[in-house]
Amino acid sequence: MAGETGYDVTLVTADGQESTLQCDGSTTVLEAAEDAGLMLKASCESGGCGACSAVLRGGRVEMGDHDPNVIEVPEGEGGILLCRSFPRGDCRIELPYDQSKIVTGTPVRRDAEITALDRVADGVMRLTLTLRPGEDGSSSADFESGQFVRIVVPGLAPGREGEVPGSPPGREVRRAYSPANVANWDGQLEFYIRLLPGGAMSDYLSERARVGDVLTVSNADGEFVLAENGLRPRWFLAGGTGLSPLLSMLRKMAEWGEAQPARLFFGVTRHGEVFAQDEIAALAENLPDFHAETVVWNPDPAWTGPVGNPVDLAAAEITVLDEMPDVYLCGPPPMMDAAVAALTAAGVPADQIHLERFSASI
Amino acid sequence: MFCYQCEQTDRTPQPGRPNLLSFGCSSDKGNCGKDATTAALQDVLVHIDLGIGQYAQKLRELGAPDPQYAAHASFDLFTTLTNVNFNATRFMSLIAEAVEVRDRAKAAYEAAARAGGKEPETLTGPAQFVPAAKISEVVAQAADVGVDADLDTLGADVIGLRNLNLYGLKGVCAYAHHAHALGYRTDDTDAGIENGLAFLASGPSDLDALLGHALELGSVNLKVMAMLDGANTGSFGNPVPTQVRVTPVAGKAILVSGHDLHDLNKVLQATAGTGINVYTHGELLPAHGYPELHKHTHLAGNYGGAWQDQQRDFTAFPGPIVMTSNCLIEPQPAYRNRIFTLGPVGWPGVRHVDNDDLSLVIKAAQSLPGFTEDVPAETVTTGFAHNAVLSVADKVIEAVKAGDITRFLLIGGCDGAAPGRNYYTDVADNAPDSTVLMTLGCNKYRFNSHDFGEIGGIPRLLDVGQCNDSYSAIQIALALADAFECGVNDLPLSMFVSWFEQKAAAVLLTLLSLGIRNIRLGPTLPAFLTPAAVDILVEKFALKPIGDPAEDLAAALAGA
Repeated sequence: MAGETGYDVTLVTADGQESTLQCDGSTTVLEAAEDAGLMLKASCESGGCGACSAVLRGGRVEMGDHDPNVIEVPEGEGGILLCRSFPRGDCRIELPYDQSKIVTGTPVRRDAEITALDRVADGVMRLTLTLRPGEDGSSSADFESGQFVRIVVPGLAPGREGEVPGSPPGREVRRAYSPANVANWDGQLEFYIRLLPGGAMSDYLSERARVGDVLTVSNADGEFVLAENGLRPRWFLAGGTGLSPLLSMLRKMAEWGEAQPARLFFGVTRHGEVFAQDEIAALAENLPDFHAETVVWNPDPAWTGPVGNPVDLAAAEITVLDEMPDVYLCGPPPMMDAAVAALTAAGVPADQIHLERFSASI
Repeated sequence: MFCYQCEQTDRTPQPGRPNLLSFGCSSDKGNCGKDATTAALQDVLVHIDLGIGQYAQKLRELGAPDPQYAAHASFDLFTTLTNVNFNATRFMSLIAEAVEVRDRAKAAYEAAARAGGKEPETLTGPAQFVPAAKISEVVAQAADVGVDADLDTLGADVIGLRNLNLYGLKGVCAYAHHAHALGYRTDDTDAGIENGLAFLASGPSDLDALLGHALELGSVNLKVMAMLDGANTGSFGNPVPTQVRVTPVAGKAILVSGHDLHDLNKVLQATAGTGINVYTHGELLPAHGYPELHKHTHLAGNYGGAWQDQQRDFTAFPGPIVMTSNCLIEPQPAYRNRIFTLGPVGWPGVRHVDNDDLSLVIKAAQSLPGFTEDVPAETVTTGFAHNAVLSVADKVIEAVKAGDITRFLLIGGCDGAAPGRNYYTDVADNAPDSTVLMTLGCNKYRFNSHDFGEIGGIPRLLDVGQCNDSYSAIQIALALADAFECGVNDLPLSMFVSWFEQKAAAVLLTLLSLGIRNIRLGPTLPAFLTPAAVDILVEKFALKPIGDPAEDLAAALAGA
C-alpha cells in the first residue's frame, strides 16, 4: 500500500529476506534503497551495464533510458534495471543475490585531490587522484584489482542536475570507474576515462577540471576480481577504456609476483585512441610469461600493428591451447557479447569467463 | 585430493574410499582451504625432497656431509604443513628448485664416491623422480607418490604409520627451519632429517620398523627442539616471567603472527624509531618473555586470540599483519590487501615478502589508522621457560614435599575451532588449587586470562612458551625427576595434550620416545592412526584419547 510519500517497494533477496522501502515516483529504486541505507549491486547507474538487474514480480515501474540487452532476464518476463526503475505503484522486486551481499549503512566516501590530468589519446583522459585521509585516519587506497569506485561529478550548478540523464533535481551525479593501478598505501587512484560529447564527467574533465580540484570518491565495489585458480592461464580482453580494470589486474600480478601465463588483447576503434602502451610494455618486463597485442579496428596508414578486434585475435589463438584460461573481459556491450559467444564456441567453460560490462555513461 | 594430516580433516565416512582410510579430505578443497592442485603439488614436492635426503645421507656416509640439504628440505617440508602455504604457483617454483638441489646432491655424492675410489650407487625412487613440465601432469603424478599411494597393496596400517613418520618429519623440519633461520644447526639434527627423508624414500612397509623409526624421529625432534631452544635463547636471552599487555595503546600498529622469533625481531628492528607499535598474535605471545625482544619499547603487547580467531582479529586490527609461519587461514577481503606473508607462508593473491624488505609493511602501517586511543591495561604473564622455572626449583621441590603442590598438569598444544577443545578449559578451571598448571602452545588462550592464584609465591599457571617449548616442559620434568630421584612417569605429572598439525605430531613422538605414558590426547586422535596403530600406542604407552573432563581429571589426580 502506498505510503504518504510514495510507494512501498518490497525487495526480496535470493535467500528469501524481505525489506520494504518507500520510493516516490521521481526516485529510482536504486536511489531509494541507498537513501534507506541499503547499497544494492550496481555499477554504471545509467542503464548501460546490467549490474543492477532484478525481476519485477508485482506492481509496475517505468524504465528510463536503458540498454534492454544488458538486463539478465528479458523485460517481457519482468526483467528490470533498478537504476532506471521509477515505481508507478507498490512493487515487489526479486534480487538475484543473497541478503549478505547487500552492504548496509552509509557508504564510506573520501575526498580526493586531482594530482594529474592528461589527455592520453583521442577521447581518453587519464585522471590521477590522491585520496585524503579518511575519518579513521587511513590514507591508503584499498580495493581489489578489477573493482570500481564511484566519483561524484563536481560543480554542477543547482538546478542543472536534471539536465543529466538519471539525475533528478537535488541528487548528485556520479559515475563508476575502475582504477587502473593497484591498491596502495599512498592513496593513489589512476583512471582511464573515455570522454563522451555532452557527458557529465566528460564535460567536467575536458572543460573545468584542474589539478588541485577535490572530488568525492566512494569506497570500492564490485565482484569483477581475479579468481585464484592455481596456475591456470589468465587472458584479458579489453575494449577501449575497459582496459582500466584489466591493467589493474595485470599490474597486481606483476607486483605480487604471480606467475600465471597471461595474455592481453586490447582493442580500439581508431589509431588515435591507442593508449597505455608504455604501461603495457612495463608489464612485459615484470611478468614471467606475458604477451600483449593492441589491435585497431579502423587503422590509419601509420598503424603498423594488428588490424581487427581483440575477440577475433583471441579466438584464433585460443584454439591451440592445452588448457582453457580464465578470461577477463571488459569493454562495450557488443564486444562483450561477441567475446562470450566466441570463447564459449572455443570451449571456454562459462565459469571461466569473468566479465564487467563497460558502459559509457553520458 | 587426499589429505588427512591435521586434526580438522574431514571425518565424514566416505564409503567410496578403501577400508580404514575412509577419513580425510578428499573433495576439491580440504577443510583447511587447501585446494586439490596445491595438495597434489605438496605431495610431489615432498617426494623430491625425499630424494634430496637419499643423496645427502650417502654424502654423510662418505664423510662429506653438507648442511644445505637438510636446510633446504626443512624449508620445503615446512611449506607443506597445515595452514602454511596454499599457493599452487609457489609450489611449482619450489618443485623446480628442489629438483635442482637434488641433482646437485646427486652430483656431489657421485663425485665424493669416485674421489674415494668407489663406484657410486644408483639410487632409486624419489632420487630418480622427474616431475612433468605441465602442472596438470604433475598433479597426475601425485597419484603415484602421494600420501595414499600404494594403499591397495600395502594396506592402511602401513600407509598410516608411514604417514606418522612423514607428518612427524614435517614437524621436525618446521622446528629445524625456525632454528636455521637464526643461524643455528647441528650435525646430529641434519643427519636426523636426512635419515628421516631417506627412510621414507626406501618405501618402508614393516610395521615394527615404521613404529621404531617414528620413535627415533621423536628423539631427533628432541634434539631439534633443543637446537631451537638454543637458537632462541642464544639470540634473545633466556625468557623471564613477563607481564604482557593484551590491550592496545594509541598509535600506528603492526601485528606479527605465527611462530618465528627471527621474523618478529626483523620487524622490531625495521620499525625501531618509526613510532609504529608492534603487537604479537597467537603463538608469538611467549616472545615477550625474551629479554632481547622485550627490550624494544615499541613491542607494545599481544593482540587477539589463538590462530582460529585470526579472521576476526585481523579484520579488526587497524594496521598491517605479518604472517611468519603457520597457522594461516583464508585471508578475508577486509584485510587481504594488508596482510603480508614471510618465509614458508603463502596464499594466492596475498603479498609475499621474500627479500627481508619490510618497507612496504612499514608504509602500510603509516598509512593505516592504527589505534586511536589507549584501552585500559590488561595483562597476562608469560616467560616460564625451563630456565625461569628451574631457577626456583628449590621452592617447587619444597612445596611438593610439603604437600602444597600435589600435582603438575601439563595442559597444552595447539588450539582449534572444534567445540571439543573446551575440554582443556574445563580441566584447567576445575583442577584443585594444589595443582600447578603448565601450559604451552596456543591452547593456552582458552584459559590464560583466568586467575589461578599462587602456591607459595609460585603462580599456579606457568606459560612455558610456544609449542616447541615442549622442550622446556620436558627439561622441567626431567629436572624434577632428577630431584626426586625417580623416572618422569613416577612424577606427580599428568599431560593433557591437544594437537592440530604436524609440529604437534613431532612433539607427541618426542614424548613417546622418552617413554612418557598416560598422555591424554585430543580432541580426536589422528585420522592417519588406524585402530591397529592406536592399539599399539595404547599398549606400549597407555596413550589415552580424551574423555569426560571431570572423569579424566579425577583419574589424573589419582595418578592414572
